[in-house]
Amino acid sequence: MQVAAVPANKPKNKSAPTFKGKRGLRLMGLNFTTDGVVKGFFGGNAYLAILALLFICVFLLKSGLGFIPGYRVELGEARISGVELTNKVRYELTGYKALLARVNQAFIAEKRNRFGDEESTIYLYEEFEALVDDEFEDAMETYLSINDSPEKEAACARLCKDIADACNNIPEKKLLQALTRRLPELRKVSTNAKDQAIALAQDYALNDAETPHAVAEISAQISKEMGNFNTAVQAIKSAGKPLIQLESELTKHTAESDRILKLNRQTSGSITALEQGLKKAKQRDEPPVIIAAIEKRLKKSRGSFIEIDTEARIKAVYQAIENHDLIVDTLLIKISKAFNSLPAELENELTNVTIEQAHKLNSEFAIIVAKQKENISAWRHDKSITTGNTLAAFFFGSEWQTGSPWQDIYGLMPLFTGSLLVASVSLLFAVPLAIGAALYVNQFAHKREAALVKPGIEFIQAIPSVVLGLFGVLVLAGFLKDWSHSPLLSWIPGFPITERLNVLLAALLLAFMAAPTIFTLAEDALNNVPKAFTEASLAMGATKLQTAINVILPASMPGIIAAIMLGFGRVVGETMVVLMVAGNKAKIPEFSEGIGIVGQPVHTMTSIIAQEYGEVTEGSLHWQALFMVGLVLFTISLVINSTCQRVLNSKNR
Amino acid sequence: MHDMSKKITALSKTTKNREASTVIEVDDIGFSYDLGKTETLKGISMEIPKNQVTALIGPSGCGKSTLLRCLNRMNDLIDTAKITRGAIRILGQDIHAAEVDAIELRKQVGMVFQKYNPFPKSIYDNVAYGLRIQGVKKKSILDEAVERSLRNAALWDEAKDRLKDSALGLSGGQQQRLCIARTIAVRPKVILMDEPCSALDPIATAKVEELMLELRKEFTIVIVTHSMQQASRISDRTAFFYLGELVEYASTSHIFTSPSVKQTEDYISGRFG
Amino acid sequence: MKRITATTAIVIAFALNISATTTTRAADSKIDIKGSDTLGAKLVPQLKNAYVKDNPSVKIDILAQGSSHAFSNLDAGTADIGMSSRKVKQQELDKFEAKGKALVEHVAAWDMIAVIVNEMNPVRKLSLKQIEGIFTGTITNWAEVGGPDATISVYTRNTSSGTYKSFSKLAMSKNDYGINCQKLEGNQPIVTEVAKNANGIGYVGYAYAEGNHFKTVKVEGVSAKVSKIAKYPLARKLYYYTVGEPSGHAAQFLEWATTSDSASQIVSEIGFIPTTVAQESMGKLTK
Repeated sequence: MQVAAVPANKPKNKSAPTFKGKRGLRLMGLNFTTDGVVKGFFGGNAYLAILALLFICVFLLKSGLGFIPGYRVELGEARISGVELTNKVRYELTGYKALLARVNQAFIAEKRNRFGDEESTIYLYEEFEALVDDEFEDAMETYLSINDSPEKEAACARLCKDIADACNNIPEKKLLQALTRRLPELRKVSTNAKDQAIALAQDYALNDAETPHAVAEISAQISKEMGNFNTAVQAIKSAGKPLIQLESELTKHTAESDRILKLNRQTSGSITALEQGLKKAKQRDEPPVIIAAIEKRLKKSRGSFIEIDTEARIKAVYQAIENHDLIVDTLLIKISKAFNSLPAELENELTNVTIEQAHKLNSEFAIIVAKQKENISAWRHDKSITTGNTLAAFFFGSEWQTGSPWQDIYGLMPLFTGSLLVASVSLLFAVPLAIGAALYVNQFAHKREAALVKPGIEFIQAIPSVVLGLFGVLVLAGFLKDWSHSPLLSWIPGFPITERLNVLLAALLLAFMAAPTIFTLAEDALNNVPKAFTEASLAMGATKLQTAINVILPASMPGIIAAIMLGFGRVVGETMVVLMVAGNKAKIPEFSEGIGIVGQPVHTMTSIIAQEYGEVTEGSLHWQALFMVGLVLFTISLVINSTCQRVLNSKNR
Repeated sequence: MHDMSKKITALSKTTKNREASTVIEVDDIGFSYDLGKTETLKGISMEIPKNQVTALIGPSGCGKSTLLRCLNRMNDLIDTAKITRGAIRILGQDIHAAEVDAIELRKQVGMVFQKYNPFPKSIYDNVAYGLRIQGVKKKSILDEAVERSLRNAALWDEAKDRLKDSALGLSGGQQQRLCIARTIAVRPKVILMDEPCSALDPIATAKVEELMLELRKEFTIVIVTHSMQQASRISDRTAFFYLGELVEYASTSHIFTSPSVKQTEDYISGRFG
Repeated sequence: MKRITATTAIVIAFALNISATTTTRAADSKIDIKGSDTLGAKLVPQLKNAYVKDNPSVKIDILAQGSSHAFSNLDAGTADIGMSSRKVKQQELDKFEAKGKALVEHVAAWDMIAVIVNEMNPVRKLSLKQIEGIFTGTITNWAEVGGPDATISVYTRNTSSGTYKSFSKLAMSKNDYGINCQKLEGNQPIVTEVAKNANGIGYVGYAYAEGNHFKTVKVEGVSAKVSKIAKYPLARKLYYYTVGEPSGHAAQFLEWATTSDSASQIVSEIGFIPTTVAQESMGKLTK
């Protein structure tokens, strides 16, 4: 420690002040004063937070971006093996199956309309069969265990009588209820049908719970008597067989190729790992036993590599696909013919409506076929997949299918639109609520009112999101669905709601959660408007309301916009609530329904991560895909927050 | 600068001897900021004449701003404010009567504040504000009013090319004149000014003072000022307040040359203040 | 001098402590059981309670997050026993083999996956083909399977669940789930939704198949009853997995849980089928 050298000739003046700073502890050449340590501690904490943030960013990026090359390889395999081509045919098949289903529905509606009595027999039989199952299991066993002939006959008669009695004891109302769900026009239960059904039920019991053939025969009879309609349906059904066959043939070829390619990729991976392990073991001079074991495993792996001639295999695929155009064209013609053979106007309203829908599906199917014909003829197995393709496949893919035995598809669109939809609808509710409340509390409420309302709203933030989710599932979902059925609200588009878990429910709960955030920030922004503006406006004879709307609100706009954006960011990132109440259907919602879209279930980006993280093995493509989704969420938050900052700073010009 | 002051002195002389009729009658008004416990205004009575500039002077805390703010009931904004006695009558009407709406009052009694406070809107929108909140929507009427007000506030030449620009881009003096233009756009009967030049530099001050002398041709002006010199320059009548009481109220020349009350003389000569 | 002794004592104590905690798992009287929600929600906790009553020195920790977690935890060494509602996947098995570890399978119990519909739904039976059609999205209206004219609301588990995969294998010929399926978190949410939605359909483990406002349908004409387990198409085994043959407390627990009468009783009470009963029923079939 240096002491200031005091020149010998100057007297030491104790009272003269010096301006030297205080010395702290000297360690490693640095000066540690108390002030400095405390400042360093605070500063260190701040930088620690930033470091942690950077660490998360880097990790997200590392894990997520590894997805693109990996997915590219998988898509490449799907192309070389021909799986991609098979998917196009499958897509067509889906269109056809939807069409067939709709035609079938029309057929059933018509059948029920015309053959109510016979259908009643079948439905009544099903009720009685259930009754026999529930109440006569032991009696049936006892009966079956009897070998003696006369005893058996007696037991048979007893059993039949008991069954008949039990069936007749069922209140007519209950039977009618079961029938009218399918035959809405029915007014009373036909005695004839009931007797027939009882006979069939007895048959069922006596034959060890085997559904009697007679039931299927009644069905067949009805179909026959439907005449042209039945022929048309059957025609459409059989017309699709070549396409179904084509699809299964393609599946057979391509699934095997794809499987082998994937297996080989895995094997190469383990071979590389083993080779590395071997090298390391040799370097570390491990005992020969271990090295021998590794070499044995390496040899086994190398041996399990399957030689595959993709060119030869794909030839079979190209061959199979040659008939495609012919098959689908014939299919379309046959469907048209079948449609033409349908009776023009049928009595039953439901049938007519359904047939109309079937026609629409037919035109949609024709469009699908036309497009796929183009795609299929342009398809080549050896066209390489670019990174651009992969990015497009991820960001614009319309399907998210994981854990699939066929092909894992990672498409962001359903999740992205789900998140966006839920967030937007919830803001639609939250913003007017929160901004209105903020205006009221800040401008119009008395001090005592404000003292009550403000903490009240802010308390909502304290409610854990999982509690809200529980409330939503158990209470609100039912309420919403029931209210939507009320005739008073039928003018609202999309009401009545059919699905219990949907966008609207999630949006309402999220609005409840986001409102306090927006409220607090908006109220702050309103507060920060200089009083001078209020005074100037009031002094000009404006009412408080006019002042609030014309002066204060516009003046606080940057702050309010920032509040809304932060609310949006909060809502987009919410996981628990949407996981529990949004319905989790990974499909792009039908925008054709207009406002009714809010009644549909959706899957969001946050809930897919929460739902699927338990399934993924570390390092797998699925794992990386989830990180990609996480990256997208992270980027959205980043963008929102930085825009917020810019908006807030712009007002401080 | 010198020319300015000459001009102002000239203008003020020409109107000193006009006949005046009363616009505002303050009748023994008592005011309290704490629900009557202590009185800030202790029984003020004065009559403010039409088309003249009346100045309220006095040391800090004497109640002059309080009285000003009573005239357009801006004190209503304070929860604990209370009129303890007396009444204020503007154009014959008691402004605290039950049927009187403070909003309507303020449309007739405008105010310009110490710190200029144009809205963060364009110049045009600022001046048009008063008319818009009264329901005037027609563009032609608004255009005409804006031009007229800006001319009367001696701001038209400087602002006419940037009516759509933000008002906050103007200089301090210009902003205060804009506030004046805003106030006069609705043609109130009275303009109250609370130390309007205290935040302005001497040149801007001179411009505003000149403006006031022009404005009194159409409006009645009551101005609170901390500067005795300003009062002597521009006002017709001056009221001297001290600790909530009206000490002396007379024509400006009388107050400044031969005040009747000793306190007034002490204040004017700077013995306290 | 005293100071140095004290410090040395503390250091030694620390070292001993650390070495103590690095003993092998088998020496601990603690058993970590992780994996399937189907087993871990009710059955294994009840088995644990009964076992610990008789063996108070043993501590058992259960964590149920999905069958996949059983294998990841066994691999990492953070579990002694893994619970799984599905057989181990080849990929997962490879991981063990690559490390030279053997995975041993024990049958915990049998379960039947019941297909449930709302009580108001008149449909009482479905064929496997119809079930496949519904869950792959080909069949979208109840009318097509003999029900009312209404769109089917399909509820399934999510991809973490072993039941999800078992169902795909047993009922859907390993086809993909349709995109109209709503994925819910567990057995109970599926029960809740089907009970409240007249057009809902879902699948749950046998333990959840009884309840209010919903009923099970017959699959291929066979009801989901214990007596019919031999013929029921959607019957599956539930497994315990261990790395190598189990030893010590884990071995004792497994032995008790899979063979003893008291354990079988608990299994039945919960709603699964004890291995003994299932084998008996199978035996009847082959007779």
